[in-house]
Amino acid sequence: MSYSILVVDDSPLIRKMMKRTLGLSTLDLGTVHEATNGREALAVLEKEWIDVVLADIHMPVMTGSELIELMSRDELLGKIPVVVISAERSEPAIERLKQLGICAHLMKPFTPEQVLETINHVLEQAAVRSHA
Amino acid sequence: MSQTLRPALLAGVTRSVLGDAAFLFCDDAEDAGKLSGKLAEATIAFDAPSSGRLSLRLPWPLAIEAAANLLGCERDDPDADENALPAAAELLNMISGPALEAWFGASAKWSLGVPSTRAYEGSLPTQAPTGQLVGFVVDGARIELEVIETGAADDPRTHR
Repeated sequence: MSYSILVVDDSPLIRKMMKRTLGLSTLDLGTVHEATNGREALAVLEKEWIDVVLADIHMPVMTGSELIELMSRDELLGKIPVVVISAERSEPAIERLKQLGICAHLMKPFTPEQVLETINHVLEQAAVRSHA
Repeated sequence: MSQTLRPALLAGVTRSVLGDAAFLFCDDAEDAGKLSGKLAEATIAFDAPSSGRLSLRLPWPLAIEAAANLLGCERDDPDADENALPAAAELLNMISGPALEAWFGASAKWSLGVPSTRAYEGSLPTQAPTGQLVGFVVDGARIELEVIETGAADDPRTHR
C-alpha cells in the first residue's frame, strides 16, 4: 500500500524540502500533494485520498490551526492524521493544537530523520486505530 | 520567564539555527562593518507579552547558499537562486521560535506572523535606532539579526 501525503506550507522551499525528504525515505510513497494554505488544503482533501497531512501553522488566507479545526468537525476529514510542522513553541498554543486532535508536532528546525520517524509513527498509530 | 532579551541569548539561538539548519557557521562580528551589495531581508512580527518584529539580513550569495543547503542542491542550481528569499524567511522563522521561547518562556502565550521578504541593493547602518542587533560573519560576509519591540507589555491572555 502506498501512502499519499499532503504538504501544507506557504513556503515553496519547505514544500520542496518535504518532497525531497519523503522521496529519500523507504516509505512506500504514493503522490505527494501540495497546498500553500489551509483553504487550498481543503480543496485537495475534497478531491484526493490523503493518508497524512503535514501542515504549517502560520500561513496566509487560512492558517494551519483553522484548517485543523475545520477538519476536526468533519466526520471523514477528522480521521486523517495531521502532523504540525512549525516554529511554534508556545505551550498554550501547542496544547490548543492537541485539543484539536493533531497526532504530532514537529518543531522547526527539523531533520529529515525526524520527519520520517514522525510520519512512520503516525501511520502505525492510524493502522492500529483502523483495526481496532 | 525572562522578560529581557539578552543579545547573547539571541546570538546563541541564531548561531545554532544557522549552523544546524543551513550549515552557515557563524563567527562573531568583531567590528561594526556594514551590509552592502545585494541583500536578502526577512521580517516576522510577533505577538506576545511584548510585541514587535525580528529581521534577518544577509548578503544575497549567502541566501543562495542557505537555500542550496536547505534544499540539498548545488549553489548553481536554479532552485537555489529562486529560493534565496524563502530561505531567508524560513531561517528567520526557525530562529524566532526558540528566541521567543527563551525570551518569554514556553508557558507564555505568543504567536508569530507570516514572514515577509525583500531583496534590495545598498548598504544599511549596522546600528539600529530602536532595536537590538546582533551581527555575525559567515565566510567573511556579515549577517544581522535585529529585534524591535513595538508594543508595551500587556496582558498575554488577550492574545490568540
